Amino acid sequence: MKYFFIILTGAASGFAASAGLYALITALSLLPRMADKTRTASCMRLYEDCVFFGGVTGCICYFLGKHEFSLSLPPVCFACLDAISGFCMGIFVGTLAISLAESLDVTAVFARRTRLHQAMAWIILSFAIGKIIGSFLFFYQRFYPFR
Amino acid sequence: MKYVYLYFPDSAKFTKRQVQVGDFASICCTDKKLKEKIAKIPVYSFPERLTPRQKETGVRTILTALKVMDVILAAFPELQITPLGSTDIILEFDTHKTSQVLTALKAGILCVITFFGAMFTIMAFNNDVQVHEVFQQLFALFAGTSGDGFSLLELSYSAGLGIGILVFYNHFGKKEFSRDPTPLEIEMRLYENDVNTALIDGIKRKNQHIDVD
Repeated sequence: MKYFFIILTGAASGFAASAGLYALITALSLLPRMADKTRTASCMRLYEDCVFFGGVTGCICYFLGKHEFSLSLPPVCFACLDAISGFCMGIFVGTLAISLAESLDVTAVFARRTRLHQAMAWIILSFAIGKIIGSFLFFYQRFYPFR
Repeated sequence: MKYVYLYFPDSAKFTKRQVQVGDFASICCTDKKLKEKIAKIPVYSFPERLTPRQKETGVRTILTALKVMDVILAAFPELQITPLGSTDIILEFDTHKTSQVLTALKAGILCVITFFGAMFTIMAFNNDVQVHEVFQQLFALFAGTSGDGFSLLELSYSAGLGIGILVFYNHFGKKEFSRDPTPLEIEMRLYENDVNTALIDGIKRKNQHIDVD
């Protein structure tokens, strides 16, 4: 009976959380944008599967991490995994951030207000560089409670 | 007086320079010979010399339905034409062949990004709303003892999350749960429509579209 409640609550909360979070990712049309740029719109279903696997893996990793569980990979392996996963997460979050801003038509409104259509490319570039420096500083200066 | 119905698509892709009416428009007409003649009328030809950049990315131009009708009427003044579908047609000229390997590679890279991205977002979300603490409280409520942080609750949460995504996206691999297109496919179509509209407006604003005088 106890386990029944535990499983029911767990599954229901997972269901609700995924509905909110991944609906947001879909609504920002982030994947369609990437698929359009790479001209791989036909692989859309593959990407959806990847979201599924990523979501579940991430969730399990999260709780394992909280549980102080470690794979204890050899240094070369975890360096590679760190580099690849970090890079990919960076790309994804970068796209997510700009999509979120873009869903409110920030650049369009900004360009119209300032009448700087020509300089828009440079403004966006500076935006990206600012994000890079900001992110670097955040981690380099430990702007967060570091254990 | 003969009646002809023309249907124009939103966009059409070409690998040859000469564009004829029948290459992009659907023609409906009682006279089969006339239909063939109309289909063969040339309306546009892409520039012969392309810059290297154009060769790489292809050439785009916009043809108005009015211009197509104008060309047809010039050949057959007696016709009564009824246009249907899009009023502006995007013509794309692209001889650049995309290699299968490159496409697969791009799709692969995108898969990896999506995988890690989805992983990151759920972890960041869990961290943000402190899911582990909520679950510890819940576990204590159900079991009476404080759990060790990785119990059935967390496992079923992960499973529920997966099921939620599958139900939302409406398929797993090639197995579909219903016949509707998936949300991302719908978003993709909407995005393509937006791109087409923006393209048409942009080219029209620069007055580079092909219209009647």
